[in-house]
Amino acid sequence: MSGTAAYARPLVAPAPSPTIHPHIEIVTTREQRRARPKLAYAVVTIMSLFAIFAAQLLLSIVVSQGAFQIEALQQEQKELLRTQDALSENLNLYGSTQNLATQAAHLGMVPNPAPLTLNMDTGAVYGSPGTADPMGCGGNCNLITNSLLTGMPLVDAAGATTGNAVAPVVAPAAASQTDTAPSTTNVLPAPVTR
Amino acid sequence: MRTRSSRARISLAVLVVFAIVSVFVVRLVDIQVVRADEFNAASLDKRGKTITTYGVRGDIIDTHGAVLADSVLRYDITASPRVALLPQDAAVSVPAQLAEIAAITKQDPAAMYAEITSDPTSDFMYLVKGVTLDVFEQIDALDVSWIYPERKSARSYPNGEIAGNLVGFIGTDGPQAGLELSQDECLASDNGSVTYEKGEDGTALPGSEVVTEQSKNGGTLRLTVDRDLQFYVQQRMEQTALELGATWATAVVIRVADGHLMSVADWPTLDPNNVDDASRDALGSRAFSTPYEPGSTMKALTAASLVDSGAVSPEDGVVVPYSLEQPDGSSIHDAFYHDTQNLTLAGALVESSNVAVAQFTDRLPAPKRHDYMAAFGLGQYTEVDFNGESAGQLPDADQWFGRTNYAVQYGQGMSATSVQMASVFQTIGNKGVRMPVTLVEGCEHSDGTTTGVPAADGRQVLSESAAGQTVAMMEQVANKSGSASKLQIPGYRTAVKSGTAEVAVDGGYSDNSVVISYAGVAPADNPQYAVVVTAGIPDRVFSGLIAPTWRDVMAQTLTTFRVPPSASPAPDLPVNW
Repeated sequence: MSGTAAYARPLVAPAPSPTIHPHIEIVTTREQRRARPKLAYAVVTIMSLFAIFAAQLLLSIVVSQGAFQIEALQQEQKELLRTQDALSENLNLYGSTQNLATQAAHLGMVPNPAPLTLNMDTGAVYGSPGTADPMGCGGNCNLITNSLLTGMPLVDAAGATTGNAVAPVVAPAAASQTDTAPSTTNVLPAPVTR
Repeated sequence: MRTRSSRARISLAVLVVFAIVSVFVVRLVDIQVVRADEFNAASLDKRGKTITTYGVRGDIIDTHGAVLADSVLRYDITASPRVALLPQDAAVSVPAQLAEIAAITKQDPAAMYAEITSDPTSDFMYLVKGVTLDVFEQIDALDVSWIYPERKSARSYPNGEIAGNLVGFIGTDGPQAGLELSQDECLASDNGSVTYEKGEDGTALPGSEVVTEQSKNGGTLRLTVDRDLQFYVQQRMEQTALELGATWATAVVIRVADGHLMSVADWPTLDPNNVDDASRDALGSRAFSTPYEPGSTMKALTAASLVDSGAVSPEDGVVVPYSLEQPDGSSIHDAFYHDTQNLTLAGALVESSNVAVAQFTDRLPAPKRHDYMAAFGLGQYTEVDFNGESAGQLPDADQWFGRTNYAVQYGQGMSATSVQMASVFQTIGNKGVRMPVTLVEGCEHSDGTTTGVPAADGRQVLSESAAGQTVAMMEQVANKSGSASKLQIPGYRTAVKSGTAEVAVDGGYSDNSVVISYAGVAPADNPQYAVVVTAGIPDRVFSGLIAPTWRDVMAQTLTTFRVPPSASPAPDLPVNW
C-alpha cells in the first residue's frame, strides 16, 4: 500500500491580479432620458414667474392709476360742487326781490297802484283803471335794503350791464373749464315779447 | 446611520428652532394683537393725516322755496410770519408777494407787511378774512408758500331785509337771534372727519381714506312766509311809518284757514348781512316781542264774546252819551265829542264808541269775558314760540276794578302783540275756530323726511254763527265808518276794526302818544286772510291815517294768493235804533 497519503493540492489563493475595475454606469434608457428635466422647462417656469410678477406689477400700476384717477375726479367733483355753491349763491342774489325790483325800475317799470280783477265765471271786471305814478311809489319803490346788492350791475333793455359792476362771487372765467356752449337746438321756443 | 448622539443633536436643533419660533410668535402676537391699537395709532400719526369734513348748515326758505338764508363758502387767508421771513430766494420777496395779494384783496400791502414783521416769530396771523371763492382761487394761484387758506362756512341772506327780523342772524359765536337761534336744532350741521395716509410728498395715498366720522348737513327750514308778499308789506309799513312819523310799525298777514303767518313785517328792521348797522331795538321781531295796548281793535273781540254768549245781538241798542260817569267818580268817554246817540252793537263798532261798548259789557260778567279773551290766546305765548316772544298782559278778572273793567274790553289796561291780535282776527274769520299760530312749516332733512311739522288742531272759541255776525258787524265798519272810503278793495268785501290806543307814559295815558292800528279780514263773505297793521307813536293821533295801509296790504295779499272776489253784496246792519 502505498499508503501514501495523497496530498491535497494546496490550495493557493489566487494571486491578486491587477484587476482593472471596469467603469460601470447605468445606461439610461431612452425613456429615462426623455423623462429627465430639461433646461427649457426651468426657463419656461422662471419666465412664467417673471411674467406673473410683471403682470401683477402692471395690474397694480393700473389699479393705482385708477385710484389716482378716482382721486382726481373726486377732487374735481369737490371743486365743481364748490363752484356750484358759489353760482347758486349768485343766483339767489340775482333772484332776490330787491334786485328784481331795482332792475325792473331801471327798465322803467312801475307798480300798478290800481290792479283790476277779472272774474272768470261772470266776466265781471272789478276795480277802476288808474294811472301809474311814473316815478313808481314816488321813486321809493325799493325801501327794503339788501347790503349784498351794493354795486350790483344794472341791466338795460338790450341785456347789457351798466353801472359799477361788482365782481360776482365766481368770475365766469374761473368757473368754465370744460364748459361747452349750451345746445341751442333743443331749447323751448319762447315768444319774443316787447 | 443614526446614532444616539445624532438624535440628540437633532432634538437640540429642533428645540432651539422651536424656542426661536416661539419667541417670534410671542412677539408677533404682542405686536399684532396685544398692542395692535397702540401701534396702529402711532403709525397713523406718522403716516396718516386727519382732515375735517364739513357739514353744511341748512337753508331757511320761504313757503315757495325762495332762499332767505343760505350757507356759503368763504376762506380766511392765514399766514405764518416766521416762515415768510425765513431767508429765501432773492427772486421772491415778501413785500412783492404781499403786493400781489393786496392787489386781489384790495388791502394796503404796507400795512400787511407791518403786521407780518410785528411778530416775526409768530406762526399764525390772518391776512384777510372771509374772501369769496374767486378771490381765494386768485390768491391760491399765486402759489405763495407761507400762506395757508382756511375754508369756513359763512351765512348769506340773499334777500337782505326781507324777513330779516324773523330769520335772525349768526354772529361769531353762532346763532344770535330769530329763527337762526330758536330753530338751531333743525339747521345745525355736524362736521365729520376723514383720515388718510400720506405719501412721501404729503399727498394722500389713493384708497387710504377712512371716514372716521360722517359729516351731517343741517335741515332746511321752511317758513310759512311768502317772500314777495313780505317784501311788499315791509315796504308798505316803512312808507307808512315814514309818512306818519311813527317810531315803529308792524304788520301781520295770517291765513285764516290754518293760522299760517304769510307775512310778519317790522319796521325798523335789520339786514342780517349787516347787523352792525341795525339799531338795537330792531334785532328781534317787534310783532312778536313787544306787546302794546291794542285799543279799539279789541272791540271786535268784545262784540264777538257778547254775541257768542247770547248776552247781546248785533242789533240790540243802548243810549250813548259822549261821557259816562262811573260809580267811583271817574268817567269814560268817546274819542270825539258827539251828541247822545242810539247805537246798536254794530253801531258801537262803526262809531268805535267806548261808552256804548262799556254799557254792552255790563251784560256779561267779567270772568266770562276774561275766559273769552284767554280762549282767543291773549295773555299766552303763541305756538310759534319766537325768540324773545312776549305773552302780553291779561290781568285776572278779579283785578278789573272800576274803569279797567270796561277799558280791557276796548283794549286798554291789557296788552297784546301784533301776532296775538292777528290770531284774534284769524279766529273770527275762521268761523270761530282758533288755529295754532304757525311760522314754520317744518324742517326738511336730506333723507326726505320732515320733522317739526306744527300741530294743526283748532280750538272752537266762538260759535260759527257768532263769528259770522261779528264779521258782518265789522263789514259795517268798513262800509259806514268815517274812513270807509279808504278801506274799499274793488271786488272784495272787507271787514275791519280800527284802533287808536293811548300809550301809558309815566303812569298815565298820554293824548299825544298813541298806537294806531287796523285789523280785519277779507273777503268778508268767506274770509281767507286776516291783516293787522300797527304804527306806534305817529305824529298825528288818528287811526284813519293807517286805513289805506291796511287796504293796500290786504289788496296785495288777495292779489298774491289769487283769492276769488266776493260773490254777494255786504249785509246792511242798522247802526242806530
